[in-house]
Amino acid sequence: MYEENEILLDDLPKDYMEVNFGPHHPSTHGVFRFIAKIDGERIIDIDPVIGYLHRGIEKIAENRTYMQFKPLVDRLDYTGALNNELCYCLAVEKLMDIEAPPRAQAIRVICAELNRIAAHLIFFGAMGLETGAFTPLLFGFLDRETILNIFEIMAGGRLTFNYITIGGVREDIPPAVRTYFDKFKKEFPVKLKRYEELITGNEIFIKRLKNVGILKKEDLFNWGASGPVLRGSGVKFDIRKVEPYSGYEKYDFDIPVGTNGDVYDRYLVRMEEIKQSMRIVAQALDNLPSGDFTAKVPRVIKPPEGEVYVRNEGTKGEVGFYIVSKGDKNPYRLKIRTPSFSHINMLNFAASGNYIADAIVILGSFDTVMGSCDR
Amino acid sequence: MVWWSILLWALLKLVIAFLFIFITALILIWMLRKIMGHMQYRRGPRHHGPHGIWQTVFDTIKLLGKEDIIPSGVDRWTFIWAPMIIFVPSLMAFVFLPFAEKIVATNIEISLFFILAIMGLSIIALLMAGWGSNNKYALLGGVRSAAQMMSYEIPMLISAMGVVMMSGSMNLSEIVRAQQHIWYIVPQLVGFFIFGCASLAEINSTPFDIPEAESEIVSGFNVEYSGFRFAAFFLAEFVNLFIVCALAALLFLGGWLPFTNPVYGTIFFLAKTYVLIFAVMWVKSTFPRFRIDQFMNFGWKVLLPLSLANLFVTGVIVLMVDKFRGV
Amino acid sequence: MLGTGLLKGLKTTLRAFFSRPVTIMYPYERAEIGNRGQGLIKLRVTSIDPIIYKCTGCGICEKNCPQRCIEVIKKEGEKQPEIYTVNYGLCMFCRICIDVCPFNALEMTQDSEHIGYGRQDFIWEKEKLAMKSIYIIEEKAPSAGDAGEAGS
Repeated sequence: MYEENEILLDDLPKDYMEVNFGPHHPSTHGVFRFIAKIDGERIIDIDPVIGYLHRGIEKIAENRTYMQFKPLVDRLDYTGALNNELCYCLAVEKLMDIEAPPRAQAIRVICAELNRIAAHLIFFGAMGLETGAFTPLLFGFLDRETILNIFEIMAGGRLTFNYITIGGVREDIPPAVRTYFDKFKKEFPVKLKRYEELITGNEIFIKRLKNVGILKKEDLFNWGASGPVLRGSGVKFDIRKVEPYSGYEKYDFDIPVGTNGDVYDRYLVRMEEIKQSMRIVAQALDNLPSGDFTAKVPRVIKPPEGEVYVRNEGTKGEVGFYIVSKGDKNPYRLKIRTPSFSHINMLNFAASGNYIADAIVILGSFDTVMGSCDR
Repeated sequence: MVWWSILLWALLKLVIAFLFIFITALILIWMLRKIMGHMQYRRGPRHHGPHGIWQTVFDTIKLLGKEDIIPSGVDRWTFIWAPMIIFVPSLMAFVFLPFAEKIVATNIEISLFFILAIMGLSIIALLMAGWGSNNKYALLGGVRSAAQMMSYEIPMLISAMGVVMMSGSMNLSEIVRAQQHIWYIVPQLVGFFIFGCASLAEINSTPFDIPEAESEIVSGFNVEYSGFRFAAFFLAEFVNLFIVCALAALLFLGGWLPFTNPVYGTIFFLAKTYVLIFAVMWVKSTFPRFRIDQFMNFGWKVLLPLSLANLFVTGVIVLMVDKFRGV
Repeated sequence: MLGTGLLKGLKTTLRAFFSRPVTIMYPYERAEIGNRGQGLIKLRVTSIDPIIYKCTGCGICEKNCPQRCIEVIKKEGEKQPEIYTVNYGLCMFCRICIDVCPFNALEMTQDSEHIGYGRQDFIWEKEKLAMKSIYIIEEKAPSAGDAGEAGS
């Protein structure tokens, strides 16, 4: 039927289009690059490329003393810096067999939970930006300012603090924190309700997020997910309840759990966690025990030989520190387990077969921070 | 002697329309930045001029002064002509818009038909920009925009036909005159809603701004343009916004009525247009955007049947009213 | 499909439109920084003329700085450091030097607006680092982990 030197359409070489969503992109959180093979509007394969923010923190730790290394730990997950510091200090304290006094533990809980609220507000803003609404970003950062003002009078910084030390905290909290927090507690729930009206009840938003990126429990266990990603699929697992640290067993709070495992559930879980964190901070400030704010720690910190792994519930998931000490001033090996690294690996599995717009939204729901992923 | 005075008069009207368009585009960009700023608890531009009025002028001058970069590997003809072609439909549509009882650049009997027809020409310019940029993001953006604009042309036209049936003519001045008893938004509420959604899709404004979705494909077809070519796309978007809101004000909100005096009529017509523009900017600050398949669903499965039903019901009612009156 | 959720969202932005904006116009107004805010770290002095620092040049801050940005050189038999430079291009304001100093000679100010034309503009010498007010309250030497008291 056809002549011999005509090219049939089936014989033409064809391949899927490869698009590079490069490190400079308004919507990948930080410098993250992924190469997507797309067929029209559907994604066939995603190949993530990380390492653009690698600073070699684990290697630097082998050349610094324990006290000198502590300010660098802030810079891992810079949206929730105090949680990282808390985990590191708990790890070193476990090696040295020191326990922080009750007042220090309560102050640490206040810091960690306030930081959780601040980090989830960034998530709220970024979620709006992924779907195309510009306003939630500004609203989220506006409310974050109040929390950062509290941190400024308490810890001395707004983004990186160096406040929680080995054995306690660096300084006592001034009484103005109480006034600031009472004002925040009165005004913020009203604003949160309004922001929920803006985004959570919005039909367009619900259509974008519901039934997108559904992840089942078994897959999440296989990939090592933790934090709100795990809780959004119905697994009621929170390290603050399972292995309580720093006095969390004294406080009364619930753990929000999602049902479907889609992006909308993970969003709702984080919004509910903001309210639970406010409960914890209110309880901690009401029952603040008196006493020392730091324990007696030797001048030069030389833990005995041994190794330890301590984990806690960071803002994005499980943060863990594994420290091997040979009795020196410097750690022999320090490994950091971060949630963002595990979650980014899930992107190919979660987003293949969906539209490009959905892949961006799924990445936003994992809430990754590249400082934490690349270390 | 007479022919060159006609030519001069026509050229003068053209120049006035041109100037009006540019000044309107500059005012609209300033308005968008201020309104979006205030809706986000912040101020917009403040520095240049009182309340930042000259900010857009300086921005345009800056854009005009930038280096003209043409990437290698582009299709030169399409890349260079796309930003110039995008202005042509807007300018042509502008010539037929009436501002008051007798103030219109050119008055023809089918002005509504002509405006709606040439607004469809801007699809070509977006496709040229998308294809000619030698960039995958631009290609995605251009193809998306072609699909979007074609799908939403039809509900826009059909919802405008309801107004034409009620007024009996396609001349925009006649349509406004026919609204003396009641503005057409009251009987044609559904048509107004459909016309609003469809025209938001035509001008690529949120929630239908998929072709230039900033968070996914980083400005879509705009991505390789810089300098005055980008300024052309940017200004053309706002000129389209003005034209579409002016059309909505003429068709549904009664144009310049109840003032027949040219000065008051123009002011009232512009006031109505700017109220509609405020509403569009309000929506732009609030809503997220649709996904591509969701809004094709919305266009073809919701708006099109709704507009056909609107047309049917309007036709039946007009026939019955005419029969009742014995015409 | 389109219903009350969208209208409530519109109401939120309209309410924001009519509220007061919260912008602080930066060079004309400044936000308040508390007294623990991070700024430059300066040397305390006990007298202005002739200038006498509390620092004795022991070098403990130099050994403990994680970024290695302090340089202290002292001649034998003197009570004051001869050269004391801090490279603020490297400093990360972690306040470890304040915590470990046995003489309480460093203090954190809230001075944070500085510009320079190159990296050498950020290396501050001893004279520039002197605090302008005098620190005269005597107190016992602090232990590690305690914070110092501010002077007057």
